Amino acid sequence: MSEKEKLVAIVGDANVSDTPEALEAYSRDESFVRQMKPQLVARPQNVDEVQQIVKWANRTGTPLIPVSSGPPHFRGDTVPSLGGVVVDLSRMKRIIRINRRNRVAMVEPGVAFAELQSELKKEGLRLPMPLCPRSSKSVIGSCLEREPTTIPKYQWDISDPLLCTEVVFGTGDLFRTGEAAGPGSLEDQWASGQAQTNPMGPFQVDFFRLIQGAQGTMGIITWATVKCELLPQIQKPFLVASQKLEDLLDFTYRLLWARLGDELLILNNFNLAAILAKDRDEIKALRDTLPRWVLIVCVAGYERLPQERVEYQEKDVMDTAQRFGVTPVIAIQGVQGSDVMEALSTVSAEPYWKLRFKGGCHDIFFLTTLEKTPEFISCMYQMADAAGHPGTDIGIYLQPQIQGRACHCEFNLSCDPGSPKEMEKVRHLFFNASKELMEMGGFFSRPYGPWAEMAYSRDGQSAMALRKVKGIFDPNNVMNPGKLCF
Amino acid sequence: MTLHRNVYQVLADIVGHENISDEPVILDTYAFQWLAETISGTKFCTRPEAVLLPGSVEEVQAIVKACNSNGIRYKAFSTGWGPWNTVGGEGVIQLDLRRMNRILEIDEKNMFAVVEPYVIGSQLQVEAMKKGLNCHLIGAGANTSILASATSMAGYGLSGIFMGYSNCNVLAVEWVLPDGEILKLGSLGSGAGWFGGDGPGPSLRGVMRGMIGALGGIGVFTKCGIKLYPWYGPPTTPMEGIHPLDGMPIPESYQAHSLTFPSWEALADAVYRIGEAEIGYVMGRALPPGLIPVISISSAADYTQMLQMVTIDEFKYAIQIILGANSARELEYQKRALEDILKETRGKIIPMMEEQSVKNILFRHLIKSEGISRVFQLAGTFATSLGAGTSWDAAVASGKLGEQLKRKYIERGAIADDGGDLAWGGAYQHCRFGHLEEIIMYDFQDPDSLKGAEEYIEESAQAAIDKSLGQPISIVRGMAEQFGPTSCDYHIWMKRIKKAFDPNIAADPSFYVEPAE
Repeated sequence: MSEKEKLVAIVGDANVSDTPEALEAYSRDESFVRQMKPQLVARPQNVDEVQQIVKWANRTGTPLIPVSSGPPHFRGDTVPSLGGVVVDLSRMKRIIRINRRNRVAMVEPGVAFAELQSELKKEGLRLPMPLCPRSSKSVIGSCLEREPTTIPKYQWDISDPLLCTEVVFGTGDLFRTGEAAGPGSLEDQWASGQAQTNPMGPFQVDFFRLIQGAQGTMGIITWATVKCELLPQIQKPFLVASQKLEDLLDFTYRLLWARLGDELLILNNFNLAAILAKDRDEIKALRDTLPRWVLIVCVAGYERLPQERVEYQEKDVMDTAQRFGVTPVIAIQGVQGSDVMEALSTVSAEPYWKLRFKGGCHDIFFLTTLEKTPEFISCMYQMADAAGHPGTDIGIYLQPQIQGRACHCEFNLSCDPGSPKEMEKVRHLFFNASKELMEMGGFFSRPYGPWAEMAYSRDGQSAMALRKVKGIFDPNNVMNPGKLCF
Repeated sequence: MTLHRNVYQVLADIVGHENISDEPVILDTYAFQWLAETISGTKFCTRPEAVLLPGSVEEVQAIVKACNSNGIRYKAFSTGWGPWNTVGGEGVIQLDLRRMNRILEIDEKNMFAVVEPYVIGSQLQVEAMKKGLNCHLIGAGANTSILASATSMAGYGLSGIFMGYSNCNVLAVEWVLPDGEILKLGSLGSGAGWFGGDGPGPSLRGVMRGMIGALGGIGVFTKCGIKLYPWYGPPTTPMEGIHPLDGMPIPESYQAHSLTFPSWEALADAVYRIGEAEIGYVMGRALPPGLIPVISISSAADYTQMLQMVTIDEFKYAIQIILGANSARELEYQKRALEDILKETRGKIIPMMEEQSVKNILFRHLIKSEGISRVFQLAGTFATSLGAGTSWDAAVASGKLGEQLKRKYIERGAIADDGGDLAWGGAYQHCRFGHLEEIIMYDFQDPDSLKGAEEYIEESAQAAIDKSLGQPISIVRGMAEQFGPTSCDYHIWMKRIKKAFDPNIAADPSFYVEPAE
């Protein structure tokens, strides 16, 4: 029996592909990561099949590349480094459980944001989302990537909203993390009132933290619970404009301190235009009318006294704004706060907002603290200028994280994939700016593609420690080899 | 086993002769521990071979490397109490980190501090309050190490409704690994500061600790970034009255109440609704019925008399809550929301707890996380049980179960008669999870009482398994072997971690695991 036949025996003939089209589709993404075709694509439907695939990979020494989101991919983490088999989890699409009382949902990796949000809405819940995720983005994929969400007050830990998981480690062993580990089966735990809301442990190790951020190098998640929040009954968004970013920062810090507002983020004019406009011309037109920086803050009322909550929050926001010399308004240059909130509350319309301007986009993102962002932005503009990339076409997204202790700083470099000259220019800018921003103290905590070597060369001890962890959970290095420091 | 003099000299050369001792009288002060009797049958755990007081990460590193070279084990200790803080067997030296007691930084804007191991909760709280900030204090009290709770132990405290759990509050960490290498977790390792503890890539916080910490089994933590939270009160907090009935005048931006409900179910509903409304600054069962009398009693007879009053009265299904707000408007909203919740759940504010001086005492008790010392008063010592971090419903089920299990031990006179209900705990992160641990009070000098306490702890642990009530807080040796097979064999993975990170088994494994073969 050939290796393909063995995979067919596990997942069925219809769920193993080796057509040139299928392999080509998984061989590259929108990033600068080197192309490489997998040998096969397998699409398991349940944990048993996943476990059998991982065990087979260990027997045969075959690399596995887990993929949960649909295309387009942007970061190179789903592009094989050494060939192997893509494990496409898109058939695992069950929303296993929504528990309203404990505000938690249990989903499989193929569940995308839009699918989960519509089911949560029926229960009066929502899941904090990244900034306008693409429609094909997996909820679990996003959580595993520690993707920032737009509501910092709910991010108690950078790992939020990920809670418990079921994982097939690289060894092929099945494990449940957090309180889901036991004692008892899931059904036993549900009967006792548990709802897999505590991600920590079991006991003295936080296993889930070793899987999160691993780019599929430790194992394959087959379900996870995620922390949901109440669906607002009333929302009142405000926009605060400034030509100078520094003028918004102290106000933002105060809102974070006082836990005022749900959604709380800063976009530059390009990115605000990009999430609202339909095409390139609209983006350009809107970008040119908008102020350079817009802080978005949305106050909300939930099930309990929603009107009263919105009223006190609105007044407190206004008092705070007055103290810091800024002016929250409900619309800026024809852009309504409600339109912005609609964009933030749903997945991106097609085409994905980052691709609308020129068809391609390369992101540089890292963690820092909010007050340091102007220095990074200044550096980025200088480097773009030197590279001949128009600063007006750079999207900037600042997202306070961990309830304000850190800030996600993201630059979006739009480019035309059909123009080799422009792509080469952006490639150089991407690499050089990444290095420079890292040198300045940007923390590339999620080192995709070429960032991995840069990041681990600055932190050799972490690389050494992670290799020990890798040796425990994936000793044969079958899980997405070639990524991170493995 | 006695430390070889050559080794002693090597260690003395690292910290200086004034910072090392192997005098028995000194060593026994470390061996004397709360709950030691559950390990050794006496109030003393194993005597360490020597105690060292390193003053810097460099000295800690040198000690750890010397231990690896000389085949001896080490155990770090900051403010620790409990046998898991002292050495677990022969041939182990104790590292007392009390000289590393500095608050290195308070980043007011980004709301975090950087602390050394011997910075205690009250020390950080006082400094943070001057800047409009506060820190999460655990139930073990404001006298415990902030760093130890964040990196190495559990982390429950009733401010958790607003300030989370110690595991979730830790940011970057400086960590001397078991083999003596220094690992700087997260942003610190990349030279970016203390704001993040995760990455690049997977978070090594996962190795550092779990729901409870590694209890000294995976190295020594020498600095950490820790989240701070808003404080809406004045920069300093005056006290009034005489201890233990001293109070703190309640600032205008706060309120303190004791709430009572007609049943466990109503109490559970109310806590969920409080969480959903996102109100509350401190909240939980701070004063379960069995605990209330010890606040003011002077004798066991007083306790029994007072207990009868509170058990049959409103305190059976009670919680305490502090509302705290950024503005008068917000406080008004929180009050209205709480009134609504009380109406819906047939709850009420306990009238006798509304007297201002009583509320001031309650406020101090909750803000300063005081009260733990009181549970030593009645019988000499206490132990705890159950208390998994889980959904609030399951936590309440644990509280009910604990009361039920305790009955027979009370009836046979093995543990103090606290009425059965001494379930302490709360709900954290706006009620995303919670815990109720069942406390027992017993006489460690009475063999029958000690035996009863041990049997109860064992029975309650088994009950947590049988009833699928999560992973208990009670820490006993061999816990991993007992719970591992019931929880995805997690202990086998821990053994592999221990082997990979501590090839010489230099970090005392007594309350962690022995490495894999």
